[in-house]
Amino acid sequence: MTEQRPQKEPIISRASLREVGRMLIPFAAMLLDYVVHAALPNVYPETYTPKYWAPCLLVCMAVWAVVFVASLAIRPVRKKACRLAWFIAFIFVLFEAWDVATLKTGTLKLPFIPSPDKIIEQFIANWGNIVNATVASLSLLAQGLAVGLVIGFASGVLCGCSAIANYWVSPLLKIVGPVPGLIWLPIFVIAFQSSYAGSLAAIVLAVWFPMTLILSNAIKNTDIGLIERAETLGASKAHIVVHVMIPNAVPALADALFMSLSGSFGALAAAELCGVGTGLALAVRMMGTIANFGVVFAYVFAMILIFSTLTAIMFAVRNWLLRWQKGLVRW
Amino acid sequence: MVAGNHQLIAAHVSRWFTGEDGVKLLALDDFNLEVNQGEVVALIGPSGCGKSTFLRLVAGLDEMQEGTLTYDGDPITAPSPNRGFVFQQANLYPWLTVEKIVAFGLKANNEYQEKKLRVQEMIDLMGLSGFEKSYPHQISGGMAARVAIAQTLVMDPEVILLDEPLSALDAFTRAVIQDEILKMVDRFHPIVLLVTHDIEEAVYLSDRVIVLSPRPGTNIADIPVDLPHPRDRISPEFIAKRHEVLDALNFEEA
Repeated sequence: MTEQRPQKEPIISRASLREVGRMLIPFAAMLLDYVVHAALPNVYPETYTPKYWAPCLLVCMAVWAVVFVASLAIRPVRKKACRLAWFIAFIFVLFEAWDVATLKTGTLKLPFIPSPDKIIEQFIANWGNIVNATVASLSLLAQGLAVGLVIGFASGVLCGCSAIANYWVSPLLKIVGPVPGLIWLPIFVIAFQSSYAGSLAAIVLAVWFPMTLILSNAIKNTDIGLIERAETLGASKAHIVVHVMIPNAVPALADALFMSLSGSFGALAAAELCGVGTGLALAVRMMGTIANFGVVFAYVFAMILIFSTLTAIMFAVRNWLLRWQKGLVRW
Repeated sequence: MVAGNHQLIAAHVSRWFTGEDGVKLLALDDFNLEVNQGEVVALIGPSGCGKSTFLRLVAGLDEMQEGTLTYDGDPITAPSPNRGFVFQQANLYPWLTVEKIVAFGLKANNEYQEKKLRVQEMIDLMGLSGFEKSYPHQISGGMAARVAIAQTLVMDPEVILLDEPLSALDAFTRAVIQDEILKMVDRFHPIVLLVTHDIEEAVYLSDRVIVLSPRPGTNIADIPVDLPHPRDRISPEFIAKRHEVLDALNFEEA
C-alpha cells in the first residue's frame, strides 16, 4: 500500500523563536498601557484618583504569562495564542487610548464615557447586583434554551422525515416564527397569565424557530445515496433516521444552534425589558435612565462576558460534533 | 465457478418512468435473465439502456410495472442485506470511521455482537488494514471503493450487485480491486451482477456477458466467457472475447 494513515501532530512540541516573539506582542501592549497610565497625570475629573486600572493590567499580564509559559510546550495552546496575539495587543492599545481620552485628557466627557478605571470601580461596587442580575438572566435563558432546543430538535427531526408532521407544523413555522419574540411577548403574557411564563415562551419561540427550520430542511435534503446505502444493508426506517439522517444533519444542527443562541439573547433582553422585571438588560436600561453610565458599562461588560462565554461553549460543542470534517470553516 | 442452488430469475421485466408531461419513458422492455449461484454476470450496454434500473429492481430499491423478479422463488419487494448493492459512488458516511462504516449493516440488524470479528476480516480481505480509524475524507477513491465493497460483504450477501463501483478509479487501482473481487467470489460463491461500461472489465470478471440494446433495454446477446482464471488481458482468446462483445454492442451499424 502506498498510502499512509495521516499522522497527528504531537501535542507537546517546542515553540520556535518566531512564535515566542509573536506571543510577546500582547505583553508589549500591556506594558505600554501600564507605563502610559503611570506616566501621564490624571486630569479629568480633577478629584478622581485611579485605583483599579493599574492592578487590572498586572492581573492581565499575569494571566498572559501563564498562557505564555503553557504555550512554550503545548502546541494547541501555542497555535491559539499566536493567532490571537495581535488582536489582544490591539484591544489593549484601544483600552489605553480610552484611558487617555477620558482620565488623562478629558477629551471624552463624563457622565457619558467613564474611564476604564471608573468602570472597574463601578463593577466592584455593584458586584452583588451584577451577580443577582446575572443569575436571573442566566436562569431564564437556560430554561428557555433547554425547552426550546428540545422541542426544536424534536419538531425539526419530525418535520424532516414525516410529511404529515411537516404539513401541520410548517405553516405554524412560517407564520409564527419570523415575528420577533418582543411582538409576541404581550400576547404570551396574557395567554399564560404570568409575565415569567410569557417571557419564557418568547425565548422558547426564538430558539425553536431556527432550530426547527434549519434542522428539518437538512434532514429533508439528506443525500438519497446515503439512505439507499443503508436500506440495502437492511437498516429500518428508524435506524436510518437515527444513524444516517440525524448525523448527516449535524453540520446544519451546529448552525441552527448558533442561530438559536443568538435568537435567545435577543428574546431574553426583550423579555427582561418588557416582561419579567429582572436581569441584566433591565439593569442596563434603569441605570441608563438615571445617567449612571459607569454602572451601565459594568453591566454591559458582564453581558459581553456571559454571551461570549456561551457562544464559545456553543462553538466548542459544534467543533466536537464536527470533528470528522475536514477543511471546516471554523468561526 | 461452483454451481449452487440459489437462483435469481427475471421474467418479462418492464419498467417505465412517467415524465411531468405524462410521456411514458420505457427504460426496460421485456427483460429476461436467469442467474445461478456462483455466477458472475456482467450487464453491458449504452448509457440509458436500463442496466442500472434493472440492478435497482433486484436490490428492491425500485418497483417494476410488468414481469416477475424472484430470488429462490420468492418475489423481490424490498431491499434486503441478503442482496448487497455497491453503488457507483461509494456513499460512505463521512462522520464514521472505516471500521464503523464496515460494521454499519451488522449494527443495523443487531448482529454486531455475534459477528464482530467479520468486520476486521472484511477490512483485511479488502486491503484496508491500518485504515480502520480513518475517516472517508482521509482516504483515496480506491480505498473508498474497497470500503464500500467491504461494507456490503460483511452482511454475507448471497447476491452482490455492483453498479460501476470502479468507474471513477484509475486503471491500476481498478485492476487491483478487480482481482480482489475475484478473490471474494472464489471464497463466498455469491451471485454477482455487474453493471459496467468497460468491456475489458466485463470479460475479465464475468462468466457471462449480457448485452443490452439502447433504450428501452432488452437482452440482445448472452455471451459466455469460458476462459480460465486468472485471465490474461492480452491473450488472443481474451481479445477475441472482447471483439465478440464489441460486435454485439455495435447494433447501430448493423
